[in-house]
Amino acid sequence: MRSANTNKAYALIAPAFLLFLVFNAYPLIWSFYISFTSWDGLNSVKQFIGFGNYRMLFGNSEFLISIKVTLIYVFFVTIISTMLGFIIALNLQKIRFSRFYRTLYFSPVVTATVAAGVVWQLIFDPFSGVINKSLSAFNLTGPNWLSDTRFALPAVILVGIWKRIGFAMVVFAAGLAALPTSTYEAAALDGADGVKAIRFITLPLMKPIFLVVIITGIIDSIQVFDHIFVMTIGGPMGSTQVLSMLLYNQGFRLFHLGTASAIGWLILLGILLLGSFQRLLSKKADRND
Amino acid sequence: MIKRILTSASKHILLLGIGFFVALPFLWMITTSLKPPKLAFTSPYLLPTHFHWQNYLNAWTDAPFGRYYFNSIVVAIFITSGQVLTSVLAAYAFDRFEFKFKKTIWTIFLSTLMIPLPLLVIPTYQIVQHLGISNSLGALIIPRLWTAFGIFLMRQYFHTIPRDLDDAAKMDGAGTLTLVFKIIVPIAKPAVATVALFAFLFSWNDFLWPLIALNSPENFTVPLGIANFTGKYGTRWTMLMAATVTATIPAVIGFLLVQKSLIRGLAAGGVNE
Repeated sequence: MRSANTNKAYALIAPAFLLFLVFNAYPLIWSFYISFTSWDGLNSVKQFIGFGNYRMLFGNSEFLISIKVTLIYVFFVTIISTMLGFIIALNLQKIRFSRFYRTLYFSPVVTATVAAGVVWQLIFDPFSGVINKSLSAFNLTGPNWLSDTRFALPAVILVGIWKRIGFAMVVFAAGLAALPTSTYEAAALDGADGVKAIRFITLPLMKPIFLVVIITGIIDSIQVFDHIFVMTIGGPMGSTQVLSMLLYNQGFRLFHLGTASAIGWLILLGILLLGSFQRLLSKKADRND
Repeated sequence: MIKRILTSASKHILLLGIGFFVALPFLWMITTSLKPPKLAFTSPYLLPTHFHWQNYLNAWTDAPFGRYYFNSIVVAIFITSGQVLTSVLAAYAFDRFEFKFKKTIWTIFLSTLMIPLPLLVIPTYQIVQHLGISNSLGALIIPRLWTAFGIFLMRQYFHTIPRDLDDAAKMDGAGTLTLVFKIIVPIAKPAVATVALFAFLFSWNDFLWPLIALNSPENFTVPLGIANFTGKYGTRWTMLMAATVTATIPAVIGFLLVQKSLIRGLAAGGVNE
């Protein structure tokens, strides 16, 4: 009986498991191997070069700048979208038109990032875009946003934030709804309400939710590609060339598949490091409770 | 009383302020798409005096977005039904059966969610070439027929369905598949809707993989069409905006249809993680 059940279970999992093997497990192992070769994708011989790609990357200023650009992007997008999402979720509690607001804030999440990137490109246009036209109404000259090395990264960061606020808001709203009202009532009796209640009750209780929003934010934004491809293609002068953009250029423009795979693996290692960091943090949080 | 009105007013001002930032691209997309090409930039703050629907027709035929739409819809239908199917089956096994390596497989499945997509596209390209399906819609569909996220959401929902139902159905002589599709799936409609919408949105908006997998324009999906359009028709903004509006509408409609269960599903994933 038990083995019949086991077989049934395996049969039910089989479709997902087969697809996992072919399109996740095998690619992972294969690209790990390729990252130690100098393969160009065409030659049948895959020349093994050990840590050559990795060593080359860490001595290459384009790669190091790309890491810096990615970290700046990840940091600002994650922090600002998390903060805005939390503030919105707090203010949406017990307010009229909350449904309207929620739908509005969430729309960017479902919008194709490519489409959004094209529209933002128009908004940032130096001559006819709405931003610079508005500035010129005050006799200010706006910069050439997307072709200026100082402003291109902030511009694509802005779009990343725009895209993510809604997700953070939804997760926070669910977390807030799950908080026990009795705690607030007791606190209000002790004279803690408004800002005080947020500071001493909401924030500590929401710590695990913050952790989730921040971690998923980092995992998402470390892979950013779509709107940067449309808006700047990584330029000007590499100032928005995040790691996946560099990976694309190396792998599919220059056909340095070994180098591209090494970049991919380094992104994965970054995410794994972060994952173990999260486990450590949540263990610590459990112990403190 | 006055204090309450003031707090409420300041809340609305804050929410509308952020809301304006969020709404800006949508407003721009729509107003620009309705302007005559020559006036695309002349009056950026005003609605066009008369609606220039011609932009939509042009985008549909010239670009040609009709073709891209067809491709996107075909891909979305296959990916959505495939992901729902594989998720339902696997989730049922994980929730209702005990079997060897269950925990290990579960952990491995969930950890696939951490694999960065850019890492996967290089080997996946080689695989679809070996399978002989590169540069076809199949290359977009087949690698995307399963997702650990769908199994995760579905399992959470299945867990709330009482097992008495299973037992009763088994007593009536129902096989496992009949039980799953006749009894469990109808009850788990909200979960099915959520998984389906996520699959649809992912497929509808996916860009990096189609960009690499496809090279002939007759197979392009809508996002690829838009990206290609910028290169080719860079100055025809009104037509491009008409294209982005039509690309956005299905996603927004899908979202509005299952908004409730989608937000609940998303939140469950986040809160329980």
